[in-house]
Amino acid sequence: MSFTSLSFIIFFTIVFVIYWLARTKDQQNGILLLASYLFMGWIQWKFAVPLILLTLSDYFIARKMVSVEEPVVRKRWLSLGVGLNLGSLFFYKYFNFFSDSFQQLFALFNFEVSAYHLNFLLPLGISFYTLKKISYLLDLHRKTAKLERDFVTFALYAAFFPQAIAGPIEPHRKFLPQLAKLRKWDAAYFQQAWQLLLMGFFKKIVIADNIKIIVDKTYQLGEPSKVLLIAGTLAFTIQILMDFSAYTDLARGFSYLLGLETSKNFERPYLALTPTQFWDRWHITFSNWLRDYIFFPIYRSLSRKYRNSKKYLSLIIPPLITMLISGLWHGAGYTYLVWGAFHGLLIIIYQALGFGGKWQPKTKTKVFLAWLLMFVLIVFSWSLFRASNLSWWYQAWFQTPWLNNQKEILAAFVSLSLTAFYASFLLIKLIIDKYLPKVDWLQGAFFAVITILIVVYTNSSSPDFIYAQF
Amino acid sequence: MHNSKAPTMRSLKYYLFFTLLLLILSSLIIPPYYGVPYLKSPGPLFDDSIDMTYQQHIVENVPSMVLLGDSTLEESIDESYLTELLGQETFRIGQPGSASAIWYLVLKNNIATSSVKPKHLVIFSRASMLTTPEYRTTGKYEETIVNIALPEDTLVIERAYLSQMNWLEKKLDRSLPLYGYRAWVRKSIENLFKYRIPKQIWGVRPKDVEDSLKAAFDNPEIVQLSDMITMAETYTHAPERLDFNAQLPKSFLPEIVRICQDNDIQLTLVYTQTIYEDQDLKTAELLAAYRSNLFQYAAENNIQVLDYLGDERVAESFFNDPVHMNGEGKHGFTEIFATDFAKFLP
Repeated sequence: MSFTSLSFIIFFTIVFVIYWLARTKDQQNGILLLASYLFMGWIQWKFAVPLILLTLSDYFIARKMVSVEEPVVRKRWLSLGVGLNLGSLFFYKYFNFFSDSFQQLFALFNFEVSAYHLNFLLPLGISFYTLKKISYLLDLHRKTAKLERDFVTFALYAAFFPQAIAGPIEPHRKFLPQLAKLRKWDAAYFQQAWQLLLMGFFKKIVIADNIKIIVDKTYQLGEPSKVLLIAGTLAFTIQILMDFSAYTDLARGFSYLLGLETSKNFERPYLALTPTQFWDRWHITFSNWLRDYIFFPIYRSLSRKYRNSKKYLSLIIPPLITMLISGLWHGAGYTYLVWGAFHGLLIIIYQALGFGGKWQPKTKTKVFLAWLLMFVLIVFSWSLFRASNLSWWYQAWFQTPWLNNQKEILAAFVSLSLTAFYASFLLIKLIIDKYLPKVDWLQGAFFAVITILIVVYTNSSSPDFIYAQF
Repeated sequence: MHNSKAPTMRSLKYYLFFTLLLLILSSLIIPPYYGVPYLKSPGPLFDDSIDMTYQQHIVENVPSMVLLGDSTLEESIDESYLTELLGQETFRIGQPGSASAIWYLVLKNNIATSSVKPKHLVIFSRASMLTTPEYRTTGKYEETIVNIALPEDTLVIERAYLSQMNWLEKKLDRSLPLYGYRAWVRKSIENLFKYRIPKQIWGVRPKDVEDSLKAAFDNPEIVQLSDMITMAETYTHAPERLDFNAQLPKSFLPEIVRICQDNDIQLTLVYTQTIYEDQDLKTAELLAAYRSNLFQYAAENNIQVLDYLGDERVAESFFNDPVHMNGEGKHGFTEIFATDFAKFLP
């Protein structure tokens, strides 16, 4: 059930009405949990099964872990909990990839083995709810989180349907306290929600889905010229941001209508001047998760181990491992892995050049150059992300000519002008928000225009969100 | 929850006012601008102009058999080689992206109305394509359908479009021009960027732009399409679509059979081989049941069947991707098909 489908709107309306009729927070949470499981099982009831089983086991493990003081026993319970979540993720998402990889590795040494494949559909949202629960278990183990004794509240944190399919990976510290209170209807919820919902629908239906056509045409070519590849990759740069931010806007909008606040997931990422700034602005909740549970633990451990020698290791290894994991999380494929490694290397180089920490370019020219360089690198990295395989990507960038024929200049121009048209509304919104935020009629007029465009571009069926496949 | 950047109620009021204003204005402007009626019947508008290219070819070349299918037919049958092998003129209509709605319209409006009719019509399909009437009828496919449909083709509207619309869509399609004619508005916007701006800047004609886009994008590598193909195959392998008996009355198949019988055209169904593997045990069982019912229906209606799914002669090495064949496959399968079809010939 896609957020942009009529069936979801009807589903949400029913949940909305019943939810606000509830008189206690337990009733509210119970309604939301039931709705969340219904939502997850809508396409296939099997999708809800791993979520429910993992939630039950995590709830039990969490209680057991906090009930003992002995560090070794606590660690055992933690390992079991993290292992179950990671194991499920591996089983559903990565088994076939690693099976193929081992087969290819053996083939390098002339050993013939057949790859065993599991024929399972990836349960919706598994990449998101497993990370949520791992962070909860780790924080309980570190004693930086409080045990949630109410099962329904805990289960709802993992399954909350606006965040279930494509995030944000809401921190338990922020979300569980909201569930602990009775929510009372306030017009402010609606005021927060309506613009987010309209922007979400607009980004998805008008921008992302239409730019996708241009992107697909380019990336389906066997040997695109570099000019076409650059035009197609620029289009993909817009498409992926729109697709992802559309989902976040809708998730936030629907959450507000239920009286719950969901985190922002990106903050103008393409205006970043440095690699670290980009990751502070792109998929923020996931970046924060990686920082807290992967980067810092590795960094601290290496810093302790190599206090007096080989200090460079703590500058190289943590970002590289973190970004490799980030790449693999986005998809079980070598292109994602190399995409992660590329970003890891960018961070390492950037830190090695002395631009770490709070470095900021001082003059306007330097700001522009820093932005341009970073933007070019981001666009280049998206080509890795979108490519179907590494050999295609290598050939496209390094073995094809700039132009196969003169006609491609016109084709690239048309692709870029259509992309620019769709993206222009974001620029207009940016200008209105920055320079004329209080001009109510202008805000109203802008949203009226995008509503008209949503109507014009509505299709009977809309392709799913890119991030839903993770 | 409350913050200073929160949108105000005033902006919401302005929003509602402007939206209403734009909806009224668009309702007043769109019908006269495109020369279309204000209240339209839901679904695409079919007019009297129709593409008769296929009929012209039939009249000029008098083929004894016409092969109908999508791009997989184009990639699996070598038309001139088949003509040579069978010793009969053949005409292959392998329209990429086509499915049962387009095949039905080609048969009804091009083949059946031709002064010269072929003796055989052979339809190449796979999965539940023959009984999934809405498959490949919206978006870019709608344009193809509009080009070969007549105003009388209400069956296509009903089975391919109305069956997929909910009550709200039907209401909006009928009474809100902005929604009902949105494909026209979209095209106008697209044409602005595709034709008008390049014309202003470089002085190029729309045909030059089309040629450029064709030269740049019209030869996708079939392997790169794999994901899209798998997604499309998943649609036609969905459990509800593999329920032959439920799907049959909603589909174009009974009409295709009737038109063939009325025009003395022998219909042959070719159930093609694929190497699409993304199916679980249950889907495989449903597919087997579907095929069994389809073949039984064919037997009851004097339809010839050639079933290649699982046929070991059509090897995996014939394929470029889950459904499209390579050069070797095209040559090999043309020979296999010719040998099998020859048995149906006197």
